[in-house]
Amino acid sequence: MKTAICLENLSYSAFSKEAISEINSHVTNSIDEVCLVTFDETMPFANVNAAVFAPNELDSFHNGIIISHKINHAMSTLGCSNNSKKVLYLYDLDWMIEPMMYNDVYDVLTDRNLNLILRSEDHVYPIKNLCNREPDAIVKNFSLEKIWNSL
Amino acid sequence: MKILCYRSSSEFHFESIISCLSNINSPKFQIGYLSGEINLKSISDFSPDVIIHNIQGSEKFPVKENIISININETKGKNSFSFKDKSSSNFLKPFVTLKQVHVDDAEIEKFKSDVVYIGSPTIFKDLLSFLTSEKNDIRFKFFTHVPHNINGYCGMCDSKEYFKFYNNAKASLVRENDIQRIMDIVISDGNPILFTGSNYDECITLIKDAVNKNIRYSIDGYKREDIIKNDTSFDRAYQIFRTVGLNKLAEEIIKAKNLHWNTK
Repeated sequence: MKTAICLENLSYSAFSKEAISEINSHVTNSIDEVCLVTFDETMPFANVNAAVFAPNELDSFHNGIIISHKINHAMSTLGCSNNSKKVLYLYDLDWMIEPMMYNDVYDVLTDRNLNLILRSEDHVYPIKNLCNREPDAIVKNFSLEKIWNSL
Repeated sequence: MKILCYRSSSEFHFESIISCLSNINSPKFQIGYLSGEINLKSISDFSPDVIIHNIQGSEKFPVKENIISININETKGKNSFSFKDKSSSNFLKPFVTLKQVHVDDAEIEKFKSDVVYIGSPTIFKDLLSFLTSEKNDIRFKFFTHVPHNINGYCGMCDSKEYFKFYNNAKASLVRENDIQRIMDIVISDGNPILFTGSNYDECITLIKDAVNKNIRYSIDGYKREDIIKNDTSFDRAYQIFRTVGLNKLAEEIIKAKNLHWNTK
């Protein structure tokens, strides 16, 4: 399935390690088109066996799935003029880690054009408390198959 | 008459008072705003009759012209006003800034909660455990600019929206000595629960009653009608201009208040 995964950059982070490992293992035996979109340019911490694009390419990314893992990336993807499905695989509760405006967090999490997938069951209650939304799925370890199947 | 508002530093109460001036609906008064570096040429181009400013420690605005200088900066001059010194004859009592409370139906879910608090709730200790425990099923929202890794933390919110949260919460927690927030909650028709620093059990009971039985509370000495009548930023602006002898301007402020409050 045609999929773009948004990352902050290609430096090491818990999520980028999971995402790049998943892409590298997935593309070996599959014909699925999977690419990365990075919001900042850095040297990659590991080999990436997939194309890497700048975020402006998302506007022409049609008929696919765009997966972001941060609220501010999801906000950008929701603003893209394409017909791809937008998925937020919420890795961390971002607003509890970095200062964010409630309005932005609320508007993204309650956007019905966004499929909300959580990494942990522990995140269900804070999100229900914040915006009264249940997640569409919980996927504990980042897996393209599991995310595709949940849509 | 031309009035120049000079902002030396951003300060909430000063902003609130000078923002009243922009509501004046009379062509007799022209209002100008200036901040940052004092540009004498632009001031003389505007040629104000009155300058209201908050330059720290200055009993007169630093220009040579004969301009009435109103100092909102805790100094001791005749035209100086204080938010802190209760013994000063020009003391400005705590006041509220009128803000929108109305929320469209489409947006109401955004502002709903069982309990709301503005600030860091770590002072609540045992009460915080009650509020954030999943098993108690209390929808607790709190807002502060420092991220907290605690259930209920919702990020930062604009001060313009405080009243909407208070208005749509079943209860609003507030510290006993936080007069400003108490007034905000009362004027936004919220349901205040006072935390004294030690009344954990009482607060839990009050919260349970507010959430499950929709019990409403009031605080002695704080009535919404009285605050709207006497304790708004318009009333303090009126006090300031009356004190320095600008009675017509003071009257315009009160007219603007009535218009402002009746239309929002």
